[in-house]
Amino acid sequence: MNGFPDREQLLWRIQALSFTAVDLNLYLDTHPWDTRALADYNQISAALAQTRALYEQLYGPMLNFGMSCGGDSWRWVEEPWPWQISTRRA
Amino acid sequence: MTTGFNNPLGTGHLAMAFVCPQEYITRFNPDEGLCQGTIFPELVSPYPTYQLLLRTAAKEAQKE
Repeated sequence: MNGFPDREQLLWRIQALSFTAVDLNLYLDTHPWDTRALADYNQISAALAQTRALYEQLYGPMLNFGMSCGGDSWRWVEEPWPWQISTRRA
Repeated sequence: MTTGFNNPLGTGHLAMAFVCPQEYITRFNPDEGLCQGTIFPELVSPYPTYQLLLRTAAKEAQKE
């Protein structure tokens, strides 16, 4: 162990946080004045951004263009891809 | 009541949908939400498992 979070664990975390963010997004579409839901959405979105940034720092870009800086080399073509994840959680 | 709708069956109504307002009380943690398919505990409504469907189909086949 190098002390860094496992790549697949991070991908699962990103999926879980993304799912919570989109479900809160759908709720807020019909309840835009619900301050509790909005506070939760903001907290989850911040955690998601932080987790994605950590993933990109450790394991490379999550998207091929627009969201991530390229760095010194074009890491996008380096395997594994962000969608390569076991069907069973570790 | 005249609706202007020409019902070919001559009876019944057009469908009307009613949805109860949802109130945000609590949510699952992100991991649990991903597994349940919703972050809202009041919206959990799992489909029957594939195994259960197979067993039901087998019972139906025995009856015939």
